Amino acid sequence: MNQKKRLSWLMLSMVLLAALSLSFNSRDAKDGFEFGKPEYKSIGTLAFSPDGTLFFADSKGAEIYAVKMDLSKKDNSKEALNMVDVDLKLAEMMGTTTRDIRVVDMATNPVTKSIVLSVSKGTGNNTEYGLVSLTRDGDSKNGKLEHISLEEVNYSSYGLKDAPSESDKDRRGNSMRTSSITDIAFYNGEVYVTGISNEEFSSTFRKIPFPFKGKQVGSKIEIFHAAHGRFETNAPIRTFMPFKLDGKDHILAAYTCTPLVSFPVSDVKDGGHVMGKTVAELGSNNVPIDLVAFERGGKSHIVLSNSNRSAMRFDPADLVSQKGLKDPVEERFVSDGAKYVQLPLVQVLQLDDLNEDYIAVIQRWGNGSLRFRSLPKRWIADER
Amino acid sequence: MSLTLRLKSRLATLILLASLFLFTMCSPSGEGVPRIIISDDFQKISVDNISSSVLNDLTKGQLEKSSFLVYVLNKEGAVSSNQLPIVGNYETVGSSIQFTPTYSFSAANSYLVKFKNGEEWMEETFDMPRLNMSPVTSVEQIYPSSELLPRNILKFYMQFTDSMAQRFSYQNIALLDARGDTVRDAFLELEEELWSPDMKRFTLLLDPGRIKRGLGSQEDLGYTFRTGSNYSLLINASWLDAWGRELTNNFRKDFTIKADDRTKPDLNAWQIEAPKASSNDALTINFNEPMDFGLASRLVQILNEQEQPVEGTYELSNAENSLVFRPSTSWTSGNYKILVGVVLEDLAGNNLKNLFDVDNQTDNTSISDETHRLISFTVN
Repeated sequence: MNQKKRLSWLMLSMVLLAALSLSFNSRDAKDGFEFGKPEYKSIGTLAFSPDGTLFFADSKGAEIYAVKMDLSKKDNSKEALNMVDVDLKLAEMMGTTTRDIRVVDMATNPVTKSIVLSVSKGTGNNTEYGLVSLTRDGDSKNGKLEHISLEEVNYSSYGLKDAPSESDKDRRGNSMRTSSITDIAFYNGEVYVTGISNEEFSSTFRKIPFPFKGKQVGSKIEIFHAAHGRFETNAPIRTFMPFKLDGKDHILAAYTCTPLVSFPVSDVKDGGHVMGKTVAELGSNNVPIDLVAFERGGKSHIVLSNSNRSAMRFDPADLVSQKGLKDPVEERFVSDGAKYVQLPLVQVLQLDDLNEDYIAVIQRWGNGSLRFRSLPKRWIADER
Repeated sequence: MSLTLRLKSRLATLILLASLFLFTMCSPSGEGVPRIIISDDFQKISVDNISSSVLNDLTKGQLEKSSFLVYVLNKEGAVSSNQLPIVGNYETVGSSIQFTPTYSFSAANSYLVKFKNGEEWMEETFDMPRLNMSPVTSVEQIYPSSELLPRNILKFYMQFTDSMAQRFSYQNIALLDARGDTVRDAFLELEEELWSPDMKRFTLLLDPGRIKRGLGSQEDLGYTFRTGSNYSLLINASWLDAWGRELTNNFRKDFTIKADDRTKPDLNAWQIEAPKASSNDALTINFNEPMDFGLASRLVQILNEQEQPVEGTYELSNAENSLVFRPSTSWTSGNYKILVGVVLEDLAGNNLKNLFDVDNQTDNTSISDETHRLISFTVN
């Protein structure tokens, strides 16, 4: 009797447990999410949605993945966060030497303030990819690294190959063609993706509605920019960033050939053609690397890092009000257009917001190592 | 009477069970010293023969965090202070624990395995085999294969005989002028590097800023090339292949620069040498100028009357000036079409729709959704 009772209790609790776990999974499943291991081929650029969902670009697999992250541990600190020898620590975790390690991208989870790094190990065709979190070690100002397992996660994906116009009529196949995803961003419920192909020289800019639903196709937009009024080009975008000014949404895009171009998001329509406005020419022999925007003292600021020039601070209002450039830059290495402040900040490979008082950067340090640093917003933005 | 008997028998069972338990806990029989075993394929490390008491302690807590650790050894063959252990998955199978690293162990590195058996640390080191480093991979060809190139040439393709490693490209490419001096800042150096999926073909873009009319770089530095001058593109043998081996030899492509190409490829100028019906003859399409190797390899296709692809092989020839199509079966007489993708580019990045840089005072940017154009030919 007693045993029977116990058994029925056990069964009831098992049924309840099963129902509970089912409801956990099905809640996510309805937005196209599934539980398990995403079958990605590479991990590249990263972005977060405001609710802490991580997006990563898989250039090799031509997919965008969305992954629900653990949001249980939040870092509410306004303090600095630093870590030296990030590449060495990553090499230790991955069982290799720093020569094999590359930090592909960095993004801050807006909910937990945890930093996520996408990292590759190796250089050959057996290159492996992973995600690592950089979080505060206790209450200190030191960061610690932890591997993020993708074995059992809630994820959904969007296949870029499914977009028409790309493979539709290429009946001879795309065997040698690749499209590397140069940047992604999440903005107003959509994922924006830019890429560069190893064959045709053009900009591809995609807007994909999120949540990803079935075979729903995002729009692909050609973006031309007028270079000095007269010549229009359709060059690939290197890095871009959506930003809001006076209630209006804009995109700021940095091109492979250094002009900074802005256009209103409202211009970006399905299958359309956008004429961007060249707001600055940043001088030759330099490739823009990364962009970040932040608020300080009720004012917005934009920071751009460069390959061969120090980082630059822009006022978004200057970018929007700047007239499209007309005349060629006359002198070698001279920049033109919207005014900027040259920051004493070089070798910045990654940029993102960190917390109320700091932005996060990864810099190539003098001894060749990678250093994670937080820089005070007041140092970057305050007048004095 | 019966009650005491029952009690006694219960007591006896209890004593028996207790002694059995003590026996299993203390007996050394069947449980020797644990061993650290590295699998032959270096995919797994296991510790076998762990005593149940140690195993019990381990599985209760987070064993991997403290008791079974794998480290990569540094140049001095040691583990540094505060070194992070290698990440991986732990699995208990019977009396053994298996560790599978999340990222594979790297060739030529040495590793240390530590296992805490009760109060005692056991250690084992192993070396990953070194690969045979003698070079076998080489540059097969650099495209465009022509030795005469327009001043505003946009890209080169470098075809290797085998897969290559990433991140060694730009440091191993040099552009030399006729005097052998390096031409500076000629290329667009992209961190992501543009490779084909098999990692055998590298796309090298010339700095587009030095090709576009009216753009800063072009005004600053002028064109990368001078019309009529000779140049060499040099690939250094220290560019590593996917196995970390150098190339067998340096590779050099010599070329001469001709005037700019500022016109779109013109399908009307294409000459089609149509084959005869019932023959297996090749169809040759002469482009009237060299086309981009990568794009011309996939964007031109032969269709039959029903607009279905004709089976056969395509090959670019005559320094990418022409495309030769060899059908799998003999031609039947009738009308055929050549389908050409509008993004097909010439050597200067001009495609069928738009120039590389559109002069909006004389030419309109085509914003149509057109993706392909058709040319007809007849087989008699």
